[in-house]
Amino acid sequence: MNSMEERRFFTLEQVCASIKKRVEDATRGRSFWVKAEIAGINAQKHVYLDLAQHREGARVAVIRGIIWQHRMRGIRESLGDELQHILKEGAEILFLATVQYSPLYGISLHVEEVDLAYSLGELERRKKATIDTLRAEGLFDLNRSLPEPLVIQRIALITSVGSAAYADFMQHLKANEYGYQFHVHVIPSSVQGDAAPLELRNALAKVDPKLFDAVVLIRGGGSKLDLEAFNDLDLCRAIARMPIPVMTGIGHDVDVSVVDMIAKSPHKTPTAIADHLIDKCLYFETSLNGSLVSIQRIMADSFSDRKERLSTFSEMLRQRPRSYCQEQRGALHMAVGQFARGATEQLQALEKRLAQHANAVSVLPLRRVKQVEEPKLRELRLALEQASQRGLRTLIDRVHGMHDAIRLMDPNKVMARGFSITRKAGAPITDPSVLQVGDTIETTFAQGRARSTINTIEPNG
Amino acid sequence: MAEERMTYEKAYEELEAIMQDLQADKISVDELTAKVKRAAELITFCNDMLRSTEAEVNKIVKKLGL
Repeated sequence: MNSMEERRFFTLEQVCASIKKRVEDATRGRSFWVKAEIAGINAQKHVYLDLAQHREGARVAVIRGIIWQHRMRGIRESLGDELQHILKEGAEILFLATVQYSPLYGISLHVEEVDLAYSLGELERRKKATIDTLRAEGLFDLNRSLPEPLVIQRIALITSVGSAAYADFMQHLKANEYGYQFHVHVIPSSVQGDAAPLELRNALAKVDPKLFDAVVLIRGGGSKLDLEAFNDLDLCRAIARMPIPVMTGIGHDVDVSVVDMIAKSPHKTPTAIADHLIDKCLYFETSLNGSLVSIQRIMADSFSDRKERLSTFSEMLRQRPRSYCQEQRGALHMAVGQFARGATEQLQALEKRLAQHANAVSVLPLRRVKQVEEPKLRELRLALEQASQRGLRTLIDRVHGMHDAIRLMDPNKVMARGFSITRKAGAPITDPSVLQVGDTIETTFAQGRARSTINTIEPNG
Repeated sequence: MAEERMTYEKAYEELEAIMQDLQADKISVDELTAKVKRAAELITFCNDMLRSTEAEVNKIVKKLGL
């Protein structure tokens, strides 16, 4: 305790007062020309600047700058339309300023004039050089030309874990009101400071493009000065060569880094990326639902169209065969009618002809009999009569002849002419083989009979 | 008789042919009964097919949570 009391010390106010005095002694209120980049700018009533200097990518000097309102009027007048291109983040400016020290606000440069001729800042030039190199290497549009998946759900998230950006992003994704699920794989990396470009490149190298739909690169608030990491040429090359879309949420309203320019999907804030991812899901689902609705409508149309055709057929089937049958029946009736009429006529004609024939039959034969057949018949009868008379006579003559012949053949007459009849036991003998020697035979003559015994037999031979 | 599996398209084609013939009075009275019977069968088949397909489709779509 004693040692504390013995020790000599200054109050902060004393120190600050001392610094202030030394600064004022050194500058003596003089103003001088300073070259610096505007690493950040915040224009309110007065314009507050983050002034910086870089060497070989590394920041070597930083100081706060202020343009008081009354100075701003003059500067606005002298810069005119160019003002917005000169007093902007990333621009390098040449300005006239005084060095001021305030115990409350620290050291700062109070800008009095800005050189119009000095247009582009070193930061801006380097950015342009990076862009030129990327274009020359054919890398500038490489990642941008990748197609963005319809839905991005598997996300490789490169950020500084524990940052507000990380929390915002995750919270925003999780809290989506539609219940979409996102699978976020975090690859930690610092996103500001001199080590950031290399760490970011290492993080990108860890991303297996086959496992993710997109790389999301986000950065929280922080100083605008630190945006510089995202202009790093090698980091830009790695991002350009990423075979899946890279989405960035690192920029600011005012400035755009080269990474933002070459990334497939640049956004201003991490929450904007989250919104975009959710919107994509929503859009996809909506269009899916739309497709379903149109499928339903098309199906319904198709069904009703087919049903209508079928019912037309049904109706036709109810009507057509019946009407067809009726037509046929009508035709049949007509045909029958025609046939009947025709038949009657034909029948009548036939009857008439038949009657004619009948008449002919009844008349002609009689006439024929009378005129032709009767005389013929008479002739025939005459001829027959004559013929039969002639025949009769011939027959009578022949009968007469035959009578004479028969009379001549009378056995008595025959025997009278010297023939005799030999009998054995009353039976006439014509063949002597019936006779045996010693048989008794009877011979009948015209005038008596004799009995004799056979001595010899000699057949005719 | 192992009949080939009937499809809507085949049935409809046959039906259309019959209806065309019917409209053009190409069918003789002798065939008319058989053809009308066949057409009625085909219409029933097509109608059943449509109804069951429609029900199936609606079921599937409903399952998709619309």
